[in-house]
Amino acid sequence: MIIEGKNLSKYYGSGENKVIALNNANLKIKSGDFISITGPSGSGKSTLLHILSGLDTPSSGTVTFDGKDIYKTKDNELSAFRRRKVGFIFQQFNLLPVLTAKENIIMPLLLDKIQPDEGYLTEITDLLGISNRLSHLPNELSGGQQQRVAIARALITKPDVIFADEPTGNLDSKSGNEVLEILKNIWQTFGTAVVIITHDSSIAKMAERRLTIVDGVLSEVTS
Amino acid sequence: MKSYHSFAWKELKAQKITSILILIAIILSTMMTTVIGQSWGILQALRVQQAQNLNGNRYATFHNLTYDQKTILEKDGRLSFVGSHIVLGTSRLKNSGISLQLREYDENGLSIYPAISKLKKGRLPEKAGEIALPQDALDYMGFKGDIGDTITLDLYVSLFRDAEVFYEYQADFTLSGILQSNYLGYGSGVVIGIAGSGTAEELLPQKYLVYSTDFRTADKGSFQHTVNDLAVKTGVSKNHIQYNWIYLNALGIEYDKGDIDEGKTRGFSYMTLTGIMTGALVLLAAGLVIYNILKIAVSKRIKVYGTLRALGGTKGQLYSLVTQQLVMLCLIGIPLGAFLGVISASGITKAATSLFSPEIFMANNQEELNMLISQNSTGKLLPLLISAAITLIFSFLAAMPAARYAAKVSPVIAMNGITVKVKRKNRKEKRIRNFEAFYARLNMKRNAGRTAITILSLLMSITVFVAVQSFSKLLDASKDIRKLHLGDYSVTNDTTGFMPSIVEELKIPDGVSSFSTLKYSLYKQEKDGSLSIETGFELMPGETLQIIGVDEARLNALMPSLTKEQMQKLKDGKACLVKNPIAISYGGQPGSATSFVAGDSILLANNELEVLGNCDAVTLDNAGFVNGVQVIVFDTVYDLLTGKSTYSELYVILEDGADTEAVEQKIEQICNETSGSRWLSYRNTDKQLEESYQQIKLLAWGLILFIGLIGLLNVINTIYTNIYTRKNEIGRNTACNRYE
Repeated sequence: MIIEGKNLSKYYGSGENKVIALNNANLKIKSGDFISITGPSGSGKSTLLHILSGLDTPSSGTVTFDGKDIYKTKDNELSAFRRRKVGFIFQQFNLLPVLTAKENIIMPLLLDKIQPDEGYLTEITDLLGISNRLSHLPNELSGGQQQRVAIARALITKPDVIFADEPTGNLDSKSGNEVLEILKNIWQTFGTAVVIITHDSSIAKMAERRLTIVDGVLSEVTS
Repeated sequence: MKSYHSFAWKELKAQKITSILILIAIILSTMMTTVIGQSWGILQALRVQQAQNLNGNRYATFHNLTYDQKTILEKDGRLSFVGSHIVLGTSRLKNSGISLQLREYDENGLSIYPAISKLKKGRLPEKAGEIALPQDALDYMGFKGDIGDTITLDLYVSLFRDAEVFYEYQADFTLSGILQSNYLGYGSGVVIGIAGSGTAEELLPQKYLVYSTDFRTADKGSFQHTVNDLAVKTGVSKNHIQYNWIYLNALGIEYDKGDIDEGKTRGFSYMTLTGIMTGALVLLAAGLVIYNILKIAVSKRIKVYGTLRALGGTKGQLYSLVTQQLVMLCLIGIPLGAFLGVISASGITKAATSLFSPEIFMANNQEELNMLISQNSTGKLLPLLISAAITLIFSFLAAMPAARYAAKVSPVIAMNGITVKVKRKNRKEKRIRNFEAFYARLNMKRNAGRTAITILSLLMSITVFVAVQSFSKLLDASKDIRKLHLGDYSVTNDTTGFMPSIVEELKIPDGVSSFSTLKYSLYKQEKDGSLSIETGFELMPGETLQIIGVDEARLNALMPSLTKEQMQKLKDGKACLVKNPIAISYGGQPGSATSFVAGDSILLANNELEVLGNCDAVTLDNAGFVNGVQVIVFDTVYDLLTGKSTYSELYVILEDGADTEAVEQKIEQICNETSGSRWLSYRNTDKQLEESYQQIKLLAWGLILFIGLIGLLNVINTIYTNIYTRKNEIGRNTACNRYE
């Protein structure tokens, strides 16, 4: 087991205006897991993902990584957790516009004051098919290519878990399928755990474990 | 890319407008602080130069010295300059309010008075019996001859602060040179003539062969200590020490102020304070620009900072990324600003000075003036470093809120985009007559901070304008000289006086803007010490009583702190101002003097007058203070006390652009009608003084220009920021309008 979320809840506002985004969710992510989380808009999928990945604090409950509550550590340690242990793939790609594709990919390493392993960089960029796009700025790349750069950025630190928040939401179906294939390939090749949030039930079906969330309540889908 | 730090530079390059605006703010603020720092040196030097030329390049003068006493000063190693002169005597210039004082200078003596030794024709006197006189003095004397002619002068001489009768004599001199007129002397009623070496010995009795020795100390810090020590060594009494306070104040040298008006010496500290305040306001203005621009730059890139946080960037790293951007801009902006500041500071002054003749600035030629400016504008590394450090500190202080904002951003919120929170208290529904005006009002209210910054910028520009204007006036050393006289003309009659009807007549000509008057009565003690006026007090031997009647404006000028009630008391004949006499020493023994202070009551011609305070001496025709008690009362009260109603002196103040010829004709006519009258024009004096101040004023305007630019930058930035932050809203409004 890598990450465990226990009794996770997230509220916004108070009194009459109180909104429950996540209600007492429990989830364990083990090494090599491929988990999909589905649910309607506003059901709390992204909130759960943000809390599990150390991006947002829960209102109650704990998130432990190797038995240690990540939200009880100092900001520097939490930042190091995000830098080294997890990788993110966002629906909006979130590439830094002033950096080239290569610079975007290696940024998590640079923030950790580590120089990239050129061999590994070549391996993943070849795998993602962006070797010839490395000197391009994000606005010179197509949506699919930008998402591949984002995937390479998530992989560069060799994280234990990759969190993907609607990774195909901003792509056409062809590019979307290609990205999914890549993610599956990564999971198989590197053995990295993947947690993917999606609306698409066909994508969800690709996962090993399927979870669904409705009105902040998380449940396992048993087929 | 080897380090995440490179990201800062790439971000800077990408945000061109923002970076350029911050860069301009840094350059302008460094320029400003540099100009202030550098100009301070230049302005100070010019002020010193001006003061030096007004009263001579001397710190102090010991009067009534014997040859041996003079030699003690000449041999003292602590003095960097010693020069002496002997006063040969004073001669009243006919039909004028001024006197000619003839002096014999030693080898060094004349070198420190460049303003009085500029030759127009001929040469300076070299041997006994030769003299050089200023052109205006010769004109007053009605001299029509040329170099080499003989001039007969009626002279009188007395020792400095001596109670004894003058020594009067007549002597013939050979005119060796004609000096350029120096109108500055009109302020004190004396112009200087120069006599050749040995003249004094030939003409004066031994008693009057005394030296006035001017000197400067090598060490400015120990000036007063040296003076005190030299006074003891030479046996010179305090009364015979004259401080060149205009020059000492300009140099910031501490000295024994004695009875010198505190108001005259306050200038420097107030000037420094004004300078500091101006600098602080400039930095605040620049700081607001940097704060404003950086804040919007960070807000604009908040998604980027959120992404960096999500990727594992620490708060410290984000903080450092924002500050690094500023460091880079400072690295470019500060040296550039400092360079431009140095050039501007000396450039403004040189440009200003080139508009006028160097003589106006009391330098002998343009090169001398430029050298003076250069010496004081370059090589001043410390002020330069201080300017750079101050700008750097202020820039960082201004950048801190933006950097903190970037560092503390929540990655989730940042990546999703921050929703603008608007608080609107007033939600009453009113009919919207003009949507643009309604929306502008809402925007101003919802961004109270930014609106406040814009208003503050404008306010600061105005404040700095006023401050710089006032501090430039403080730099004018000549203002104290100008204070010595009142009005553009003085018309004097100290015998019969002018009848009130004549005063009314003088008010008539066009161009006379205002008018001031002086009534003056001098009462000397009889042998038994009695006076021809009844008093409730006794004077010390040798002292006189002077009753002076002046108008309200002059009373206010003599004592600016007068309240309305006090002024009423003065008008009602229940109060007066007093100038106390100077204690005269007899045979080296310090004497005592009559003294009245505020709150005392004096009885004069059966009238009891409350003393409201002590003021400066009021002198007739600037002829110098006749030692005694001066009781200054309101014009009509004077009539009551003295039983006289004639005016001794009239001061005419002209409007700008007035027909001076017509006014002068009228004055001349009045003088001819009342025998014993004379008149004097101060217009040339004021012109000379005013021009010497022009350069300082122009430099001050240069400073104001920069401050205006910074203010403008702030306003432009605020507008830019407002437009940028509401880009979406503006887009929506445009879309709505199109569909409508």
